[in-house]
Amino acid sequence: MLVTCCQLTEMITDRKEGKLSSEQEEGCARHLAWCDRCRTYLRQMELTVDALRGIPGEPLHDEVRAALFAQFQRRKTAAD
Amino acid sequence: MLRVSHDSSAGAGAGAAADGTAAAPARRVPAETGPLVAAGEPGGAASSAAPECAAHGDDIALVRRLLAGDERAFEQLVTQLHTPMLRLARTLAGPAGAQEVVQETWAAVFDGLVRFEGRSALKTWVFRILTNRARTWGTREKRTVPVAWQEDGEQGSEPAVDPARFDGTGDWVNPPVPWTEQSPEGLLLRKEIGAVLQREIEALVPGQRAVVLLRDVEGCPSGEVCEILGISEANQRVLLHRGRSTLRTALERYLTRG
Ligand SMILES: [Zn+2]
Repeated sequence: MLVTCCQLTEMITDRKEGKLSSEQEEGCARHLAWCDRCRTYLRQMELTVDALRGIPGEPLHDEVRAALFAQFQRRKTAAD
Repeated sequence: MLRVSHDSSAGAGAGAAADGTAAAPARRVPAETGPLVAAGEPGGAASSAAPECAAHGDDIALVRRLLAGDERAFEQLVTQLHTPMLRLARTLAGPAGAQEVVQETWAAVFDGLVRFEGRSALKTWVFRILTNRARTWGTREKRTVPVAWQEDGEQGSEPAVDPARFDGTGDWVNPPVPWTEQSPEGLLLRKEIGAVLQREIEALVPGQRAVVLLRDVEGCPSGEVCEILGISEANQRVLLHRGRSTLRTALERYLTRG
């Protein structure tokens, strides 16, 4: 299967998820073997996903934590 | 004895949600606290899904400590989950409903802990409760909780890359420039990148946002994300693809700005 650059950018996620047919998979591999531009694109998609993994959340405020703990205690007492 | 009223839909069909088949209906409402076990599957821990149970052994241990009233276990639970819960709740119920939904979710979690069996990760189990709480909230407030992910714009036609960057034959005319050439190693770990991504995630349409949050930020496996959001595997992949592609473009814009 012949894969264009444009098509490749649409196949990246399916490929990562292992959802391509063997024909598509082969077409992608062949394209990436000669197209450094798409290799760059693929790398950027991977970097994006990697960076998402490290996103910090807002810190949990002490009052919120305390309120939750009180709630937890109440529920627990009620259940016992 | 306090008991949270569970969604009526989460009763009878509760067990059937966990088989992870792609053919499952898209709008299925997963059980809140029902055991994550396919209907008819024996409930005994040793009988089936042993690898999965083993994988969530830490969660089971944590829940045991929680049920014993261990305060440090409680600390661990809220530290780990409160912020991710808020993020997901904001996506489902908006800023207006997020606090309330999270509050109700915690109540249901505390009540339901005794029923946690470790069939999925504790995080997944909690997120599923949250999704159901958000739907209930939406009904109560007469608001549409954007669980109709399929209606998130024209996903099918929205391309990953601006079509103007390709020529008529699908070759790049405006190709991506490697980020590493302009930036030192580890740039993506820098705090500002996290801030950019956080802002850009907020700007995604709700379906894409929810899937990216669960898959990429929280690291939930694909099958569990489908279950949490009640969407099909194919739909989840489309949303993930659109979301990731949009975020890549945003990072590209940020990293190559004048
Ligand atoms: Zn190419």
